[in-house]
Amino acid sequence: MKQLSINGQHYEVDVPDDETLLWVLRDDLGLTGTKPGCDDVGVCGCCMVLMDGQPILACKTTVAEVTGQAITTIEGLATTSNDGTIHLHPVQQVFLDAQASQCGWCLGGQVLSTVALLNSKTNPSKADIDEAMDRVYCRCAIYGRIRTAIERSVEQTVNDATEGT
Amino acid sequence: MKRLLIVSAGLIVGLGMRYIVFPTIQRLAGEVTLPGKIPPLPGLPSPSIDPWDWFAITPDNRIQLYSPKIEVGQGIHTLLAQLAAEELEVSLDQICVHQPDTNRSLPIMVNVTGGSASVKMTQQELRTAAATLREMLQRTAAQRWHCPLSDVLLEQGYCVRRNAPAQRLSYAELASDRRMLPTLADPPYLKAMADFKVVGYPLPRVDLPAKVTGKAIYGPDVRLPGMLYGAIARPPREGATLTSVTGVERAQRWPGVVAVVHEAGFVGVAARRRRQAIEALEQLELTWSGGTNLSQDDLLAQVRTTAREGAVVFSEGKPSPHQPGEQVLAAEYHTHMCVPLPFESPVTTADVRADGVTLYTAVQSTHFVRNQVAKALKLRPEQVRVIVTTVGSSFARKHGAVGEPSVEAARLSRAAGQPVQVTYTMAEDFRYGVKRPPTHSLLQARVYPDGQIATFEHSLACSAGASVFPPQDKVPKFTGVDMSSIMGSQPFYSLMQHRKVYYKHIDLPILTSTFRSPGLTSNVFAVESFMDELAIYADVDPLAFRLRHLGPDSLNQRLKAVLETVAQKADWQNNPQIAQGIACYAYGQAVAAMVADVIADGDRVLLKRLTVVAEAGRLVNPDVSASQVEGAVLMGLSWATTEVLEIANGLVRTDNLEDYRLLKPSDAPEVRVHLLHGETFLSGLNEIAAGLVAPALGNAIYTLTGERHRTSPIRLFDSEEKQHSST
Repeated sequence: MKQLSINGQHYEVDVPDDETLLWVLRDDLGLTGTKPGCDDVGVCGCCMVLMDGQPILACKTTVAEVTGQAITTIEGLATTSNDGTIHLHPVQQVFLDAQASQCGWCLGGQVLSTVALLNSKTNPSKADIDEAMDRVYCRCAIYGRIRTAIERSVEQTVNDATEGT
Repeated sequence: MKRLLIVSAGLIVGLGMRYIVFPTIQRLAGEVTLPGKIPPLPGLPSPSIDPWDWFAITPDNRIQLYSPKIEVGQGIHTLLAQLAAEELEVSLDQICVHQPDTNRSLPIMVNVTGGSASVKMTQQELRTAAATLREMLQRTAAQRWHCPLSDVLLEQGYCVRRNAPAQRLSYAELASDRRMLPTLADPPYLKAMADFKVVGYPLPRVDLPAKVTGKAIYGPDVRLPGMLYGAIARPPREGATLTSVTGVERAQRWPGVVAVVHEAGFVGVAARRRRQAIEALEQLELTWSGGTNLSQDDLLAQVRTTAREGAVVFSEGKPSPHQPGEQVLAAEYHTHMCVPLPFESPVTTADVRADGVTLYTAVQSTHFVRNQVAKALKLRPEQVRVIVTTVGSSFARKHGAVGEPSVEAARLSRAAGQPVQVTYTMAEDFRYGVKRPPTHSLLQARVYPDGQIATFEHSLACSAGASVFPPQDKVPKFTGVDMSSIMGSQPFYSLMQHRKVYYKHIDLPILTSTFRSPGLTSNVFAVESFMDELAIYADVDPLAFRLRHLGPDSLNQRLKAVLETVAQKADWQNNPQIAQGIACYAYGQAVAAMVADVIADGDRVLLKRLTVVAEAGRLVNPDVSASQVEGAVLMGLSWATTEVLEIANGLVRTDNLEDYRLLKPSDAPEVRVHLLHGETFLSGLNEIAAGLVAPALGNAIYTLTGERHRTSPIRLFDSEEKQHSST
């Protein structure tokens, strides 16, 4: 039995050690928001999740490697209040406001990659943003909107930090 | 940089360009003209105007809209919701849009989704159905209140009595018993377009909230009780057939395996876990025979034409008289194979039961998969229900006619007695899915000394596009023509005195098919790059050269408008630091023009910006359209610069994203989109822009370097130039 902590919930799964997180999330836990894309070669970035706030590719990570770590998938970003109202994570809201998606397949990866960028840098440079962008490919190729969404998320975080001090 | 534009004809030849300059054109023997017209293809049926074919009103007072068109990411659900909301006087968030399900009553062929034509094909009927429903509700309220119809006001899903606002009835209350609603004697009143409050506005897409939270259920996200995963044996070479299978018992005994199916040249395994199915399949010893062993160079060598070979697919005007000093110019263009490659690979979950089959699938039309599964399982099509899931893009990949797993999933489900999901891997999609057909274009023009084009001829060789599926599959047999492969091949400039397109159909032993912007991403590259070559030969600015060949007809005037606007927006030829290239085209009833801005960065060419102006009449949602254009431009750029599918020994060799390279996200240049607006709904803007990238970019590079690119992709982002044999 593997002990997993995903989106603040505890799960136990009985799978081989070398089973990757991607397929455990999707096939064993029914968390299908994490998408497969490139046959687990680790290029497309659609399966990005966060491990302790840092971006990892679920297709390249075995369940054994994440045992005991806090995993966040796209399903775990928004919060739901008691009356059922969904409160989006600010980055999710920015992607919606920028209408930075078409088919939506890579959207979870894009959002989580942006969250990870904001977790790792207080004031990311253009090079940092480029690096975050290159983590996730968008086949619909609306990279202008994705860049806008990332830049606005950065701006918002920097402003919030400034207001907070 | 500007000086590079103005070069003499002598200089072109002097630079060693691959120009063949003939002294005069000769009538060639063997010209084939189509016997009469290409037979008209059966049209798609019109959607219904019966409101209950489109809508249901649920007790929560929300309007359920059963879309006949499939959302694949292009935004059609939002556009249809806006059209419905407009006539129903509700806000967009009161409408919940559903993907097609063949158990709903709209004619199944209506859901063929493509050609940037969904709004054009449905808007009249949808608005009529919505207006009919609105008036039925309004009349019901008037009857209840014994008041004139004009006293029933509409507010966000409620009928409210004029001067008595306490009297309110929700649409849901009014429609709780459909039989009590009146039928209308006369057609309903449709809003005047000038009064639109929802249509024409950049409202947020209705599908994104479910996508951004990870809740949308795509094809491979379907989970049914008892669902198994399938793995399918596939040939080592395209076209190979299975001749023997051993080890079936060993596979059957593999952990988790529920069924091993070997029938009609098909072998597949269904197991409880995905991995168990793959491992069990590996226990089988399979012998294959036949199939193609051709490689890239052999295949491309087959795609060859000569001047005026094949069927005449387009001819306008008459050959004009010869003038002293006229020149004949010719150039050859090639494009390579590439793939649509939606990141959600083709997938179907089949649930085969004694009383019928249900398919949950991510497709662009339902009838191909329905008919194929019915045929394979010897059922009537009506016994196969197709439910379309959220679709993770398509780009024509998921038309459902070939290269997809519905029949495989159904065979496995029938044997296992449980639902089975079969998903192509990305490698399987590369190998067994459809490819953009390779092309060879030979262009010839006769140019008068004043620079006016007397004749423009395009001889094109290409393989199957639309002809891999019915009804177009019959067309090449009778006419030698593929209806989608020829798209993009004709020049629209009506002041050229004579325009002609010849098409030679090539049967390739690999699966090529129609593609986003069918034909355009290869053919427009040839046509619009050659236009540039002619402009430079004539020593005329490429924009002015295009404008002077555009006539007074409506299409040409619309092309003129987008060209002039793009020139203004891109500050055409006004910045000596930037080299520019221009291209324009029409697709369906959309027109667009593009300017590419490049600069030199050491010995590299740097693409700085692509500016696009597009017009497709009235738009339902300009932001959805702008997003479509932006995506088409950068996808077009990826096809035009980096994507090449390579075949070795009969099988795709570039079958993963390490070998088959996509445009890197951070390499994406700025894309500026400007939309012009018209009065009527003419077209969507999903496809027109993709085909303009290669010619605009190639033309810009010529401006910068004097080097003409006649093969697509143009390897802009490669550090080391990769050579292809056909260049």
